[in-house]
Amino acid sequence: MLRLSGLIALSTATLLVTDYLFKSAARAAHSPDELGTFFAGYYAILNVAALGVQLFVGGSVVRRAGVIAAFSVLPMLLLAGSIGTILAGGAMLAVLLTKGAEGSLKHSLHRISSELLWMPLPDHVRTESKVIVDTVFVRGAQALTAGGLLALAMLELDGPVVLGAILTAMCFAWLMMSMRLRYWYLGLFRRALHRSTPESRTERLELDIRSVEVVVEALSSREPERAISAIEILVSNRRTRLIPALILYHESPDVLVRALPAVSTSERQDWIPLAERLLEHENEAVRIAALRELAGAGIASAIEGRLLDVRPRVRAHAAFWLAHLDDRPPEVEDGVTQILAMEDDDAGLDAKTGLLEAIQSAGDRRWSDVLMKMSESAQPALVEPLVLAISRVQDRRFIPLLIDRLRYRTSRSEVRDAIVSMGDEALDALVERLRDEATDIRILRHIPRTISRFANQRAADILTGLLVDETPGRIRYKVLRGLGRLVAEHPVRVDRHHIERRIESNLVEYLRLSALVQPLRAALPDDAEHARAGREMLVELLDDKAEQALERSFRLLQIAHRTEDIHSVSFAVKSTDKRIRAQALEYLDALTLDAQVPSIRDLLRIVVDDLSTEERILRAVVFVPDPPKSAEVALSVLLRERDTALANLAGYHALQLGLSSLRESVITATKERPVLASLRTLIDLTADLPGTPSHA
Amino acid sequence: MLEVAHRIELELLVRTFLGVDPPDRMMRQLAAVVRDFDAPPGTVLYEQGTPPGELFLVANGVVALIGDDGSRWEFEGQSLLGVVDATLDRPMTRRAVVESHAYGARLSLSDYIDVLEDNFDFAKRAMERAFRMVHETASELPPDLVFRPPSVDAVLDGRGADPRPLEMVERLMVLYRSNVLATAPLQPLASLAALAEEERWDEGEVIERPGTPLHSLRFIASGAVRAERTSPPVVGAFGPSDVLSGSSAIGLETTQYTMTATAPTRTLRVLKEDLFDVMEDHFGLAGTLFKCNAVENERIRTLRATHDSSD
Repeated sequence: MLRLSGLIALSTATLLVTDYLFKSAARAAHSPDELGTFFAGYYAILNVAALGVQLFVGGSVVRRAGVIAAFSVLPMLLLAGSIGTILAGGAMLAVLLTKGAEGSLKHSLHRISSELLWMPLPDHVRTESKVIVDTVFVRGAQALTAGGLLALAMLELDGPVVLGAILTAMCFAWLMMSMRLRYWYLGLFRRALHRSTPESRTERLELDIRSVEVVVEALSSREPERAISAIEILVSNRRTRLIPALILYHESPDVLVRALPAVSTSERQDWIPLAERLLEHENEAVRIAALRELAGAGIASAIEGRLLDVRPRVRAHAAFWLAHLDDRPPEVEDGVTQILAMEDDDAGLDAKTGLLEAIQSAGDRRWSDVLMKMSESAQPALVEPLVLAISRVQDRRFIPLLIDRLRYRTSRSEVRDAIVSMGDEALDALVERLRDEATDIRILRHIPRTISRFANQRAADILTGLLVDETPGRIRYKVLRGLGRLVAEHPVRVDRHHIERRIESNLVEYLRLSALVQPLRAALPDDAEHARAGREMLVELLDDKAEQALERSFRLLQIAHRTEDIHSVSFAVKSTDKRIRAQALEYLDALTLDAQVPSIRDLLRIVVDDLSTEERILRAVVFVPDPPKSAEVALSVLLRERDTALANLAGYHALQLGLSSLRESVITATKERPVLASLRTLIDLTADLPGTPSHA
Repeated sequence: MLEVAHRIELELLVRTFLGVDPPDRMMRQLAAVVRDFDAPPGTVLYEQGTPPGELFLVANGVVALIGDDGSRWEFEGQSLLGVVDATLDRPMTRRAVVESHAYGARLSLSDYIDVLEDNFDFAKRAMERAFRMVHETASELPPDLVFRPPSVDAVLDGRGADPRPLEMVERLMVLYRSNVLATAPLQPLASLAALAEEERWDEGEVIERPGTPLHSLRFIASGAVRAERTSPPVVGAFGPSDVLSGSSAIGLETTQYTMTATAPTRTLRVLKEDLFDVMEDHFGLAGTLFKCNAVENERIRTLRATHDSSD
């Protein structure tokens, strides 16, 4: 607020000096008798000019250039005028031009932009502050400036050159402050849009005494969900020492299974006798969890007891730990070979599942040969635990298999972690798969997000390189999301120019689709009611695609400006509240002042500004020339769309309309584009529609 | 209460309520957007007719939802209130009044949707659970009311018996007209239409049997299908634009019914994996499904109320 007040005070003082320069120069150039006529004539011209600016230029400049740029127009002109005055030795013409700039812009462009500067402030702050600024700051600045000018006059230093020099300094300061205002302005808009930054949502909580009391109280809850939640909170805050070993007396098996790994840390011993008791628990999962933690702590007696457990799965866990603590290769251990040799009946599958679970929990590479052997003949029921085990042993031989498994959602997260843990070799394999045209789309679409998990500069470069038109749309969107996550969470660099080019192309795409859909919104003729469903679907699809182009633009903007909360701005842009939309527009404008691709500023203004669709299309004509004027033209264009669904739907609707010219276009399109071949059936089916050649 | 303790208490509440093992990252995001409430008896949480958008997680206490006709639905602790109206984006249909001291958390639906979008695997599990729960409630209805009456809309004009496979646009039309995806955005439906497989069934042919894994949704393009279960008994029928097993197919892991074609039938099979993959990129599709589940929930609740009162 203080910064804004200072800027307004400075601008007030500068305008006063300009006025004084003009009046003192006029007094020097004209006799007192002529002054009245001179001022009357000059102000008449000036007011006409000011009216013209106000009516035809002011709003448009603010709309197109933004508040900060508009606020900088007057000081720039005054700066030019004051420098001219100095260079011309105080010539009247230079002074007249300087005053001309001030007179024509002061009550139009300058006033509009200085009023809009207050926009991001909350209503109550704005109302209260404006009163103070208008009285204290503006009047104070005027009084101080007038005092200074009086002092100069008394010292006979108020000649045009001296005043020109003072004016130059003041204009320069004004411009500097305006530029710095951009950063402050962004901050204000962030607050105005009312969203916390992404970082503030992910910090780790520092638990204080009161919060520890809350968690410990929850730990003793009989409700399993509440007790588990408390364990999770302490684990995620690395405060597991606060979990009492007595929790192992909890009646819920779910709580016990979650609590065992949480309390069995190397610096604690208090849990061991309680865990030994759980080896006899009636619940199989509890026995396995207790066995795993005790074996992990090197307590061999725990293992031996479970070799005779009633369940094959628990016995398999025990066999694993026995072999694991031995130096011999696991595949020659008796217990392991016995499990591998079991039939794939219920008991065999149960035991093999147990073995795979145990391998997964230990994550030891010594077991990769066992896994390789099991992968050769795994029953469907074993695939999931097998993949989970493979994902923990970090054996590069499994990279192709793991990439294949990306197609399945279950275990995808673990598979991704496993691929990432294998470093550059795995990254190379992913890139190779991405380039391989034979790769199944169901695998392909998960590769970009997997690459992003590598969380390094190379991954960022690969993903940025994939943001090109040649990458299929579905994959490109995944690339965009993967890169977005990577940039948000890790300090990687991106080629900003490349990203801005993508923003530009997406914004143009948004405008292009908006122009295409517009003629299709017109009412259908009465005799084409049967085509309503096709029209509705086509319009909806075009709207969806336009919406997505806009969403991609904002995602890219977020990548280019990682510390900004663009997500909130994208919501604000869609707001029905004009004030919020205007704030978003100004925020985006200030944000893109130093864009390497300058057209994105203009594009954002056209896209975000509160315009009718017709006006938006008209203003976008530089970027989208020749927008279609009729539904017929729009459909002809859509038949050539790269998007198969869109082109097919356009063809379908064109056939429904039954217009001969469109029907011919569809027939031609199906011959030229194999992806539209499916429309041939519809061409046959619609042959009898009114308006088609057979009815003509 | 101190700031951190306050957040911990909220986190505990939300974790306990969500139940489906929410990831830490998600919990922190949620903790940042929920606010707690502590309401004495008589407090009105929301009025009937007010705009929707806020959800109330009641941890403890009793809250009554009172309708126009004075009917009362009482909810005890561990309830989520306001979600149906918010999901259906309509004014609150009932007044929520605290009956006995209640506390919990409140958050806006849009914040919750944001968090779900950011944590898609959790959103998927939550969605499946929600569909399962609604179906479990439906299973308590009389056998012939578990499923909606069959749709009789002809999705494909005159193409039912045509031997030629469905075209891309027709597949899209089948999904677009389906009860489950009717309000979905078109772009994800176009992606699903491209991935869907067409199947044909003769009259009397069994399409699904109980106990088989339910990896896909089957959308009926033309024809008719009968659903049967002997224990507990259920009978139902499906027609064009219906999904076999209704929306519950999204949450069920295995088929519970014998599905038999009662006429030559054409179905479009969409893998759930594909559905969720597409949904991950088009989260609007998730909103559509949550809405569909809310509508089904309301149908069941109304039928139960009618059925109970007639008893």
